[in-house]
Amino acid sequence: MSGNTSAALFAGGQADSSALRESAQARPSRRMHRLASMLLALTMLAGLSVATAQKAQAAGTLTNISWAVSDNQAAATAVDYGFSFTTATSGIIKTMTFTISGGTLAGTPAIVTNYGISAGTVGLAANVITYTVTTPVTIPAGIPIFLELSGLTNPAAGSYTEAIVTKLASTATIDSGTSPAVVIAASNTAKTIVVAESLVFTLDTAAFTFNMDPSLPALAEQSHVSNITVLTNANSGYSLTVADNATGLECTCTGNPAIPDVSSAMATAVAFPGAPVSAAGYNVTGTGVGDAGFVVNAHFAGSKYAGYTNAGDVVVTSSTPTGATANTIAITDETAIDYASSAGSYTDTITYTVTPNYS
Amino acid sequence: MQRRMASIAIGLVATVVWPIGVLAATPSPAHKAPRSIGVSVPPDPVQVAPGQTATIPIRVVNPGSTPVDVRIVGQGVNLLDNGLVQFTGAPDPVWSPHTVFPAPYLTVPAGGYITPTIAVTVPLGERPDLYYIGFVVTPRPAGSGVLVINQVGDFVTIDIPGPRVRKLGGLLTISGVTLGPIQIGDELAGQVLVRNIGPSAVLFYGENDVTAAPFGNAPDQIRFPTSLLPIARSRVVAVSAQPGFPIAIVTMNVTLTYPGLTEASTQQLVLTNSTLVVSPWALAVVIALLAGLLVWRVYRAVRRQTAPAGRPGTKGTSAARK
Repeated sequence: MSGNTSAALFAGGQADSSALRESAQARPSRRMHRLASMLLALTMLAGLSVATAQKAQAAGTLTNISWAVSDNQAAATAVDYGFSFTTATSGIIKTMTFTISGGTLAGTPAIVTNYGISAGTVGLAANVITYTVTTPVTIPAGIPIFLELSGLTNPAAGSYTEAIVTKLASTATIDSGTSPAVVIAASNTAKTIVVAESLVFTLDTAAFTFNMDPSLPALAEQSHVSNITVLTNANSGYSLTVADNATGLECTCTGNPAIPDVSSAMATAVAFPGAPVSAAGYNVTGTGVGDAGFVVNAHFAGSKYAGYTNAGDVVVTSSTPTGATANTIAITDETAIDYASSAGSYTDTITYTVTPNYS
Repeated sequence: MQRRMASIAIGLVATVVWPIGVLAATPSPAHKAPRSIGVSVPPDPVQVAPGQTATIPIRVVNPGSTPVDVRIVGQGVNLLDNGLVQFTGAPDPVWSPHTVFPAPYLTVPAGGYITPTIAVTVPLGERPDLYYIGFVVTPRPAGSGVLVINQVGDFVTIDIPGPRVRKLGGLLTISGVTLGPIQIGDELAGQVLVRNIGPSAVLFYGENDVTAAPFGNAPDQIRFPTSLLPIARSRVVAVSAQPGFPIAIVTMNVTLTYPGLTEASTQQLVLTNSTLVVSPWALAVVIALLAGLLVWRVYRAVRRQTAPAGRPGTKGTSAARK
């Protein structure tokens, strides 16, 4: 529309010119106007950006502020204080101060965790906790910051708030805010729950005996399944190791002959050969419902059997807590004999060890 | 009479043979009784100064329906990479002379627990660091034949307080289908290998701050909880980032934070990676568009070549029409 108008003005008194010529003359004018419009829009956009930037530089108000204490008893020592808030303004935070309303803070604070803010140091002076960032960087607006400090001593009974201020290196304020009140009292009962790292290991078998006879296949090869359940809340899960005596499945008879292992270790697990043969070994299967990190060692896949070792082999691992449903593991002991196996009682001690992983 | 004798004989034979049949079908165990034991240890390191003795309680639980006798034996423990724990099978040469475990056997009542203690005396001059006291809780073997034992291995951590040098090294790598700096996928996935390269154990935590360009708001902050990293051990932490747009430059800024010389200060290790993430769908659309363009151009070229000299719309045609 404006292009048409411009074209008309540009044409002036040449009303008798043909429409084609008029249009050809109007084209450069339209381009210039478009260019002018774009420049105007860009200028306005730039102005808006500058205004926004200036607004961002002004001190803002921290949001989502919270202050939590691990013990709200008056004058309690070794208390952890946790502060969390969200930045309102982008800025290079050099220091953060936490000033308690009224009362007197004491203790030697130490940093337990600092999320959302770079590494730094903490100190308490004149009732103000100051966290100083070692190498400040720009923290954009909307970043959640969490700082947990230990080693503080509560003030006397009363209701307190914490004034939180984030500052530039020039000590100019970036953002500030005040936490909701926390009641420090002598008459309150502090409730603390410490959940221990726990692991429960259940086995349905204490001992087993095979009455074997090489004359009949059904009696020459026998198996027993030991069922295991494991429950743990260890963050990094657990490991299950299988081991046996150094002497293996050994006879108390003359010469102490032993039934050999089907393989030298888990890594060389094989399909069980079957009678007539003299061999012993085990296979592992299991399920970890709700435990994403549950894994049975791949050497047992395809019904492979491994020989026991005295050093032990890690047959099952879990890299996550089991959750409320126990992991179930079945360990099948398979033993076969032939006429080369001396008559007598063979004994061994198989040890399953479950160890929580550290986190 | 003969029939009765025959029936009795058949009955006797059946009585003798039947158990054999059962034996052949289920050749099995003499002792089968579920046995449960549980062990709990303090979740945090116990602070003990050199020359002092710490009495550390552990809890041995018996969720089963019959009492269980257990013994608690100290064993050397190796903390391996990625949180794995390995027992040496022998007493800890460093700590066994300074550690007292409860005398065997302790009876844990059915459905109950006991709280034995482990006494650890820290030798004078021991330098500030974290130390691990390993032990194994073993039920008393029962039955005959092949004995099966379910034991639980665990350890308690002691912290000798004081300033110490801590140092971590790290490497951020990107996994998945990559074409140089471009990753094909719906997210940027990778892993951080963190290694303790200092002379002391480190408890570290961290965060992965994710930004995306050209479309993205404030960084997305994904926090890692505190993890233990013994000396010369490493741990792999999985990280990922969502681009928020089918084609975006995604930047992961992984910060690993850990105490400085003392707990009053922290230090950090920052690992950064910027990758152009292209969604397979976006790639498919681009390929389809390019293919379409190519087909169109070929079609146009073919039409130009096959069109008659005086086709409509050309100068010649206009002249012809005139």
